[in-house]
Amino acid sequence: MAQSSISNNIRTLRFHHNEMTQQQLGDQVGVTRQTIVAIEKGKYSPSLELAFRISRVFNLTVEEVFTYQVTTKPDDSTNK
Amino acid sequence: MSFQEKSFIVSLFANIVIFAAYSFYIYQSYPIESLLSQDNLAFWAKVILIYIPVSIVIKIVIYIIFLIINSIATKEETPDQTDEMDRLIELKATRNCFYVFFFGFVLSLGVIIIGWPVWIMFVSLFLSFSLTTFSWDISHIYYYRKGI
Repeated sequence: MAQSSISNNIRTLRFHHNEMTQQQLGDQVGVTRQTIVAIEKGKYSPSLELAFRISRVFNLTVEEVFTYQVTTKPDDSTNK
Repeated sequence: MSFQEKSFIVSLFANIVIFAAYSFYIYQSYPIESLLSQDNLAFWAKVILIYIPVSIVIKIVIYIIFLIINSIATKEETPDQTDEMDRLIELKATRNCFYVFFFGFVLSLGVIIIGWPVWIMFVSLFLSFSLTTFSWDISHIYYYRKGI
C-alpha cells in the first residue's frame, strides 16, 4: 500500500530569514510555537490555509515550502 | 516538553489522585454493608453527584498552582490561544472519551441485565466516568507526543 507524507524545509527557511524563531513564525501565521515545532518535525500536516500563510511569510509558493511524497512498499509491485 | 503536554500530565495526575482519594474516603467513611446494600440507590447517586463538583474544584486549584509554578520555573508565557492542531487533538480526544464512556455505560447496563446487584452498576458507572477523564488526558498527551 502506498504511504504518503508531507515534508517541509521550514527550519532552513527560518534560518535564512534572519534566524527567525519558531515563536516569531507562529505569531505571524497565528498558531502556537508548539504547532510550528510539530510541523517542522513532520508530526503534523498543516491545513491548506496554514500552509499558504507559512509560504507567504517566506514569499514562496506552497510547493517550495512543502513537499508531498508518496512511497510504495516493495511488495506492492510484486503483488500487481 | 511543551506546555500542553505538561498541562495534561498534571491533569492526569490530578485526576488519578482525586479518584483514588475520593474512593478511599468513601470506603473509609461508610460501612461495607451500606455500600453493598441493594436498595441504597440514593447513596450511590450522591457519591457520583458529589464527585463531579469536588473533582472540578480541586482540578482548578491544582491547575492554578501548576500555572504559577510553571511560569516561575520556565519563565514562559502561558499560551492564551488554541490553534487548528489543538482543536484537532481535542476532537480526537473527545472521540476517544466517547468510546470509553459508551463502553462503560453499556457495561453498566449489562450488569443489570445479567442480574448483578445495583451497586455494581453504579461502581462501573463511576469507574467509566473516571476512565473517561483519564482517557481525555492520555489522548491529549499521546497526540501531542506522537503527532497527528
